[in-house]
Amino acid sequence: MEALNIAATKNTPAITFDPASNRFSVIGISVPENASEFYQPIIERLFRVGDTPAPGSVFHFRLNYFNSSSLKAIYMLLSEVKKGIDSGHGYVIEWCVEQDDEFMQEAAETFSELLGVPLTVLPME
Amino acid sequence: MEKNLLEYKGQLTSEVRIQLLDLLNCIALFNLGQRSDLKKLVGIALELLDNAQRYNASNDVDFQWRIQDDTLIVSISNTANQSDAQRLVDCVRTISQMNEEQLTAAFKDQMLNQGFGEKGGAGLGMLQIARKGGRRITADIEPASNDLFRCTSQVTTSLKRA
Repeated sequence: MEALNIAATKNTPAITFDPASNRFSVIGISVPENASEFYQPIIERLFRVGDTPAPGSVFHFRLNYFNSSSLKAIYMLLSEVKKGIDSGHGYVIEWCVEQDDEFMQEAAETFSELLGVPLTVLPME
Repeated sequence: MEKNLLEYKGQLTSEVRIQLLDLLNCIALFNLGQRSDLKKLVGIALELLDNAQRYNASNDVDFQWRIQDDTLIVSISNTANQSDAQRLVDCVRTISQMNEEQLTAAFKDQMLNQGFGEKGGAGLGMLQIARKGGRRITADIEPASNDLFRCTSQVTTSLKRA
């Protein structure tokens, strides 16, 4: 699939997909008023029938903060990743957490529990 | 001057909400020190601000973040139409009666089975506040002008760590 580049704003994260490295990244802060409006087109683009990320793609999340509307929208995105995992695509979900950050640590645990797949928790660089 | 008080009265736009979030992160860190639940505490304010912006009839809010002894009190007041005001009261009443297991079950149901509302809400804000330690959540409404209602939500949270 083609590259995806959405610049960060004050209330939405930078979104990129690099087809050369098969790496999808969400970086920044995610507190839009309507997270569905922001994430739904990205989900539809990423998981278009017949044009999905290549097997082994990495879905990398490095967020400083998100609101509950984004929590739901990110879950919807990860649900599509999960479908790929279940289909044998070997997708990997990376979730960055700062040291002593209960908020992000618990988010990783929540997603992992709801999705039934492990997230690779990485220290925030 | 009262210490540990942040008060904002005025228009609540996305820009103001982001600036308040930055300011709250800063004052939480400097007044409470480095602790692992700082984002959760600021998150209470963020969810109240989100709700007030999403369901506001005038865009004006009266927001307060106050620390009294070992307690954080966050409150917000705005006008809303009758259906949004009543939904807020019903939501808070229902959540206030839930135990921890029921909160978890309601959260999972909202995440797994429910969609977004017309105004982009995920129906998770108050649930998340309760799950993340909001010890007491209240919501009151009273008639205002032009068929609108003044909604006041308040969350009280203990700052003592287990």
